[in-house]
Amino acid sequence: MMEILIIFGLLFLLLFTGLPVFLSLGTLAIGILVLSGQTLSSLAGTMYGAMDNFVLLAIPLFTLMAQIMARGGVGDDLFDFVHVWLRHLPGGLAITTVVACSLFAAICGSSTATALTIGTLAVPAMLRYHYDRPFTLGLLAAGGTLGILIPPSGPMIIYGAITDTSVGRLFIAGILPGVAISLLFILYCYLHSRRLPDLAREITSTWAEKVAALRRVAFSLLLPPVIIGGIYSGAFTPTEAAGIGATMSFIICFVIYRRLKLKDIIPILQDTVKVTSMLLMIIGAAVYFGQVLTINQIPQKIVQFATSLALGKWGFLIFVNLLLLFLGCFLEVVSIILIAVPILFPILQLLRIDPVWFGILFTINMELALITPPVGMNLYVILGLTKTDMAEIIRGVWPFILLLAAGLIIVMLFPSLSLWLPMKAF
Amino acid sequence: MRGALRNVEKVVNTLSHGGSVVGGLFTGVMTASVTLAVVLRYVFNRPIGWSEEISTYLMVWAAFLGAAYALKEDAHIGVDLLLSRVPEKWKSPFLLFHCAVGVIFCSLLFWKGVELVSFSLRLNNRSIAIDFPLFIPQLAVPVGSAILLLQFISRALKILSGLRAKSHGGG
Repeated sequence: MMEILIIFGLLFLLLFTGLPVFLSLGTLAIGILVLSGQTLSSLAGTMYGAMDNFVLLAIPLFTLMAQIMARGGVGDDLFDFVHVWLRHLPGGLAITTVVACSLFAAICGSSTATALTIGTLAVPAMLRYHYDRPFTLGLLAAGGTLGILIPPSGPMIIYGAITDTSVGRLFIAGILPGVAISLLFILYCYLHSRRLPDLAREITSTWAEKVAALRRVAFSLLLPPVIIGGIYSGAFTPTEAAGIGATMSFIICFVIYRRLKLKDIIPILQDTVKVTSMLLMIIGAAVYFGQVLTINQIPQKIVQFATSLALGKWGFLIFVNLLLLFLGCFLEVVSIILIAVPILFPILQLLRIDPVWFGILFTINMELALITPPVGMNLYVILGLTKTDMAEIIRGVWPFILLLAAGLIIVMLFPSLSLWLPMKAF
Repeated sequence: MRGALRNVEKVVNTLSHGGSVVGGLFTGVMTASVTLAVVLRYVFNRPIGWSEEISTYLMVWAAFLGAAYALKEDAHIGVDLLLSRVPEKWKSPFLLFHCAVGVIFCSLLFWKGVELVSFSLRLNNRSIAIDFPLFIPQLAVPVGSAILLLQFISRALKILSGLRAKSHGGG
């Protein structure tokens, strides 16, 4: 037990010096090997082997798709479209924001990208219509987190790749919980906006406006059904869906709408490589770290310890979710997946917990990690976007943390909410 | 001295930038090849076997080639909870520590990467599915870690020269 505490203590120490995550994991792994007199010959082979995985190829392809769509102004079109259709509702603009986040989440697997794209449009618009600042900022930070729950989803790809769980099933399982949490957010927006006295109610749009707005996004709205439909029917794998999505978004933005010119493609590809490299280096280093732990029988010891506690399925789930919630306050999503999942997964199998269901619980917990202070990537996105102070964002995000926690409990109590759709699929 | 340093920085940045552009082109090729495989399978009923494997190799290359560019753009995420609260003048030791760890890690990765490639070359290791020589994708490891190593060194030199400039009163 002592060695486990020392290893993870050192890992946190390294991480908290601000050392990049891949270096923290890789160097600690090398350190353990050197100190225990073992050879590190597998370093290059293990990192290479971890990356040489067709499932992971979905990461650069979905990233490329989202980059093209975001730069091609599809976020603007989506937001306008939803706004025109929903603006007459009480709290129409806030509801528009939630729906636009969900729709963008369906073409983007990253929560920070969703918060950034929709936030750029929604924050100024909501403030212009006299929504209060904390609510607006909190809503965007939280609405953005839908990016990783509604498929496609970067964290689900990584979770699937390291646990050999079907990424397709994970994607399908995320749909209904994603819709349920969006509805919770919408309900809250409705209730909150009734408490704002000087909220300007917007006029209903004409049918001509509605049709015009729909026509502008029609091609982009084709993407989610093609991707999800293709995976659901078993016509193609998530990686192939990502490739098709990237090609379609290229055709939509470069050929049909001509919003982007050929010279824009190089920076888009460079940004895609940047994100891919960042993620794959962490994955490579984490797999190496995991291998070093396994050589030293650390996971086995943790499993032994966990079974000796005799928590049972529910006790274990509650304990894990509290642990993840705690980790989520300090670490970001990819590190948590790659550090926690390899250790938790054997216990999961021992307790016969469905890996797809757990994957969804895990993802919702990671949504919380994105907005729990002090370290929440989406809080930083909104901070960068609005140049306000963190305290105001945190004040506004609290209700949404509670809503997400409620969503987590609902998905935990009703496993069929996530497992029913994937059972029908393929 | 200052001029030489700027040249080093320039060369290393050009290398990193070049790596990201080549990696980007690889990303474009893998997108096309994955899409092509699906189209050929469904429209022309003619599945191709090499697409999955070649695309994955291209991704490994893109990831390693892009690592130095990602460092240059500060894209390798870390926990900045404490570092962002440290006063400006205390930051340099932390940043130098990151570079030192980076230099050690990349040197080891480079060395082990060369071993991996030469091992595959010597035994003529090939992939099972399409009989592709494995040293070609594995070469990404030493090449990528070498550029990343240079980027860490260049970054350390920059921080050090900044410190020296400050201690000499900006001279």
